[in-house]
Amino acid sequence: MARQFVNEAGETIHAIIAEFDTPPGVYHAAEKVRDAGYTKWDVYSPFPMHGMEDAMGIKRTRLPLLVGVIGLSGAGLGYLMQHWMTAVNYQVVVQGKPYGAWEPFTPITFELGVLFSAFAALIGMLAMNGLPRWHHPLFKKERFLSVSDDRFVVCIETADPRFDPDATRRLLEAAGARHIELVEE
Amino acid sequence: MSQITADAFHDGQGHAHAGPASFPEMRAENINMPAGSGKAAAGLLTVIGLVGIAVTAGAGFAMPNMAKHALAAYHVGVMACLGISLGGLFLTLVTHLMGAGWSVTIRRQMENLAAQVPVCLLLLVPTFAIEIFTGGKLFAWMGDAFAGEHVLQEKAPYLNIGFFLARAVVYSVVWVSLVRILRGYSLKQDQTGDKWLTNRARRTSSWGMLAFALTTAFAGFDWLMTLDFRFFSTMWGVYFFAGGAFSAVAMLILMLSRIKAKGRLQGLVTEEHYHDLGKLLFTFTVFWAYISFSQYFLIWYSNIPEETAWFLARKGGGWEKLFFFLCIGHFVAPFLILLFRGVKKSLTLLPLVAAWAIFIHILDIFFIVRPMVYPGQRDAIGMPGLWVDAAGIIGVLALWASFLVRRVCAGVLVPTRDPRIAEAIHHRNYV
Repeated sequence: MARQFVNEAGETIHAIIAEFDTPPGVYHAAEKVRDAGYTKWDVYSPFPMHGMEDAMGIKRTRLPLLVGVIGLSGAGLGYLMQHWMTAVNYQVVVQGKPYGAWEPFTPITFELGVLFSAFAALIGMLAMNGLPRWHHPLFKKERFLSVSDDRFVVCIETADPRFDPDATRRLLEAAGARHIELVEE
Repeated sequence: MSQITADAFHDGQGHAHAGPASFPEMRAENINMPAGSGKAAAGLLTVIGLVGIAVTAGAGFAMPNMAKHALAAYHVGVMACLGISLGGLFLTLVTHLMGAGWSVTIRRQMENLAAQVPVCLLLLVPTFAIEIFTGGKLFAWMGDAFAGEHVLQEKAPYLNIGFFLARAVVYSVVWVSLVRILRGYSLKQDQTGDKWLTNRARRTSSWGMLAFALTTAFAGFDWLMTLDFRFFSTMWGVYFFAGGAFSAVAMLILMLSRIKAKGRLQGLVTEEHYHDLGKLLFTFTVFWAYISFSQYFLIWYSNIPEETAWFLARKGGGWEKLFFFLCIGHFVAPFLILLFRGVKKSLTLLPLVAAWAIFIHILDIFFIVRPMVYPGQRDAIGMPGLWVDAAGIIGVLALWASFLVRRVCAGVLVPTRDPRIAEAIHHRNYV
């Protein structure tokens, strides 16, 4: 049973969020959170910040491997499909060419490789990101919405094994957060 | 282009543009080869080159039945080197045209590669002289043997020696001018620091790219495709270019890895640059496959005799082994290997792939030229005389490489006062 945290009103707490004013501020805060060993947390910013994946200690995604395997399977499957249809199941002479010649299969093999890769990339990306989902607790926070304008936010979830109501808050304060609050589930 | 980077966070400000002195990476011993380096290598390469060419020429002159074979071996070597050199010119043009900042610290090596084009042109002169004076051993259309053939009579307005030479002069003038202008701007900028030279190089590259594309395509037609005057393929020019661009990226990787092995270019050419060069190598292996397959596929499908004859000669008599070897070695294997990010960023693995790319590029030209030596004879690949091929190809390649080594060692290894050096030094692939 995972730990649960509730506020005075008895609502379950989802996370603690800390606002920062500047990119360097949130960048260095992320480094501190990373070094403190947190795993279930995220940084929100109005624009992409290069180098943030290092500051957060995010490992590279395994998605390319998935795309590669599925893409090559798709290409192989595409080749087998054509070979089976035109050289095994229903042989037709086209322009006097031999049955099962590899040449006319090549474009479709390539296309199916691309198609499978594209689907693997899109669906795999969504699945790994836990998408689609209907709602996220952060959206209830009026203050959080300013992250799409001029705020930089670090959000640490209570589900993180290292989460501690006091220590985590102190960490974020020490990192220079200008405003900290709790997010209800 | 300004970006927000990790470094920008650390100093709390963006990188300021500054003179070369402000970059510790631009210290003299990092951007110059050690004094006297490359002398031994260049000398050895010259000897190998001259011996190889002498052996080839000797075989050709001493054994009359070998003359065509020897000439073909030499031509394979020269055209392979020309492809690589023109690829270097292409890379110079395209990085100027795109205003690429990341590649500034490797641009001088592209220019060095491009400056090899005149070497190849000089090496072509003996071939053309022998061909014209002996009545077309390799370029059969130059002689009288096929003068009565209808196809040749119809093609005569294009395929005649006068126009052939005139075109060769045009190609040479275009290439040599482009190399001189672009390399000239780059070297002048090292002296004056005039940032507007960057814009002028870019402007030159705009018309230069067009001129380069046309001349390279037609050089491919003239110097490789007309070896079989009955054959034609509108894809041919791009096919020649694709192989050249592929091998030029590979040669660039090899040059940089040799330079870095001497402890030079530290912090100037990093694994991030290797990563991008690996991506380019990947791009051009796919591009080559796309072009060569498109060429083969349409000819295979339409089945027109004067087109299919070219492939028939290369899909039988042992040559089919080379045909499928090229499919795998020029596309499938590099494609699968270069898919891995780790290979592209590896300072040891990528040069290995690059060495393979050069080898396979030479084999590609060999596959184009060599089956023309014994037309009609079906068993070609086991034929005696592979030593002539080896001597001719290695000889030309070594001689060509000796010029390259001397050129690389003689100059500064990077453009020293390009306004985008900061961008190149701090270049990172974020994806």
